[in-house]
Amino acid sequence: MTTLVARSRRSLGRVLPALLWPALLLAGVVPGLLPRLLAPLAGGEVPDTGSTPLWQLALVHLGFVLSAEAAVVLLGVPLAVAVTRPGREALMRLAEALTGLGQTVPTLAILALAVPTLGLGVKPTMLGLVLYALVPVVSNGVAGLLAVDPALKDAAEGMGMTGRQRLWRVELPLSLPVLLAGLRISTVYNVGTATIGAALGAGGLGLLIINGLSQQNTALVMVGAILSALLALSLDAVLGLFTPPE
Amino acid sequence: MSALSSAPAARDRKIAVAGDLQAVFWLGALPMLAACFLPWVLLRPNRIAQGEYLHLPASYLALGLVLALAVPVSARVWPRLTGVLASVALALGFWWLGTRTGAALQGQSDLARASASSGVWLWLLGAGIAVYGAGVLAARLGAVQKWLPWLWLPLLLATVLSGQLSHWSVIRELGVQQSRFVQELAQHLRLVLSALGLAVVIGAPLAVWASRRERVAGTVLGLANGIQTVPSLALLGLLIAPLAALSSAFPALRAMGISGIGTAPALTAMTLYALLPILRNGVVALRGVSPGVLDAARGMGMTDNQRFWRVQLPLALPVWLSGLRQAAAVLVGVASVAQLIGAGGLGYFIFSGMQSGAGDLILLGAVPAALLAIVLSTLLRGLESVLARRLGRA
Repeated sequence: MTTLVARSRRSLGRVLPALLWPALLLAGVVPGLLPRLLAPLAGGEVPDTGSTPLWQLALVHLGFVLSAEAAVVLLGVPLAVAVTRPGREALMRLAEALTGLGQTVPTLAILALAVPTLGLGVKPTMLGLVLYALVPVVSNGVAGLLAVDPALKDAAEGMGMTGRQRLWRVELPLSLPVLLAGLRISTVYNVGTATIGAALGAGGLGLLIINGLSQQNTALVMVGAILSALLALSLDAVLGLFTPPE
Repeated sequence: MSALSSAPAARDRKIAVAGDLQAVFWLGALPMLAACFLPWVLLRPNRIAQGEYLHLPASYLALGLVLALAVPVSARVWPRLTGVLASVALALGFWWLGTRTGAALQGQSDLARASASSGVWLWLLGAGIAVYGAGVLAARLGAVQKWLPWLWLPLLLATVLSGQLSHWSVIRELGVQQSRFVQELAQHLRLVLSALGLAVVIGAPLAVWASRRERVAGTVLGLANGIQTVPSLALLGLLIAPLAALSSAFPALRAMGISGIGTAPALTAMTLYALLPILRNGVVALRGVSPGVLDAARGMGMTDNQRFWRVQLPLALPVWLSGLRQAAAVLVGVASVAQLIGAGGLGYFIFSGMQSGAGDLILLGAVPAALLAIVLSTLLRGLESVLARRLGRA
């Protein structure tokens, strides 16, 4: 009985944010609502959010994050699988060292380093987003695949499964929770990275923050900050539904 | 019989080990080979003009190809040499950057800029991978060879100190803005270190307090994760309003230099951001100490205070320090964005470079920021492993 209560409370604790944050986000992008609420910060003047409606900026932002995430799944998961095959320890350690390096180097530095080659705009931002999102996905993918009990792999082999079958039917399903946790982390971080991408002229919600900062318009900064924070919290809560609790 | 059957197995294992490293060396050789055929220098009449791409001359190209292939081949034939070759390849990348930019600038005006092009970056990437592989290989070979893959470090230092790189556009840019660079680097370090210090002073007692209370610990962890989901730029932005309000409400605070724009909000946001890994890892580390060990300490007649300082804290320290390392890495990143709210730091060069379309100026900010993050996290990682080893031995 108590466990049942505990479980339902826990699932409520997961479902509630997944409803609350997106609802607040939707309310926030209603044209004119948020700028009017924040007007007192600008001395009663409604901040000018530019010609692009807020919902469109939020969608562009979400588009950046999700397309980077799609590229990361296509690149990162095969990479994690490839380096965790037996007899590839050195490659695995190289992948871990490189992803560790990616985690250490500042976001803006990576984005900025790409500018001289790729120019300003969407291209360097997407490169930065993909590189950043690769880190948690690859490291979690490797960790998840390594954590699969060797006895289970032996048992699968004993049942006559081929290497490919073992991968698809045993190793990947068992490592899925850890992999999804990595995907969740990288998605949430990338909402933040994408705001910095606005400094490179990529657009999205960061545009409001950057414009607000350069015009010294606190209310405009707040519109961008609140919306991007809500987007991050929404994605975190929604993806949290698919990952097991820690 | 057993000796007979184990010998081939051992040999198989050795071949397998060599095979996986061989793949790493080829992985490093590919970008190096490609780099030989790509442009190394971009020559422009001034720092924002269009330019022309210059390739390596034939003699350099031949040497480059030979060296790129020599690394993976030597790993198979004479593994002891691999570390030296990989180190030479890495240092040579920088040396050639110096000679090629110098050659390109000959007969050009003072305004001309010669920057590194794709060939340089790919070569350095490949050589870096080779050095990494050589390090793994040397660790397997034994004691003396262990240091050979580090040969690139003195070679690189010699290249830099000899002024070989002085024609490279980024170094030129540095020469123009030297005093500004020192100032912004100092401000960057000041921001990072003060935020880190503040976060430790606030976070450490809080973590100790929270780790002893089940519900508080849960709340703290939840809150810490929650704040971390908020993008750093958004957090910087969100703090402007309350701090601006504070400074206009209390003129005393304004006199102290606290306002919506500048060092104060940057430092506040950075401290909050650094607080999270320190709190989270602190709580996790302190609660991770086995209750059996604490019971044993109590059984030895230690007081609560002694148990904390002599048993729980030392055991928790390595994990806690890894939180500090994460915090430091994050802070270097946030500090480079802090320029946007007028707090200065290396971000100054990145943003002014982006505004004026000067790639070299961007690199002048981005490369030191990246190096700073790597150096800080390497130092803290070293501290972690020293502590862990000492505690393991004690």
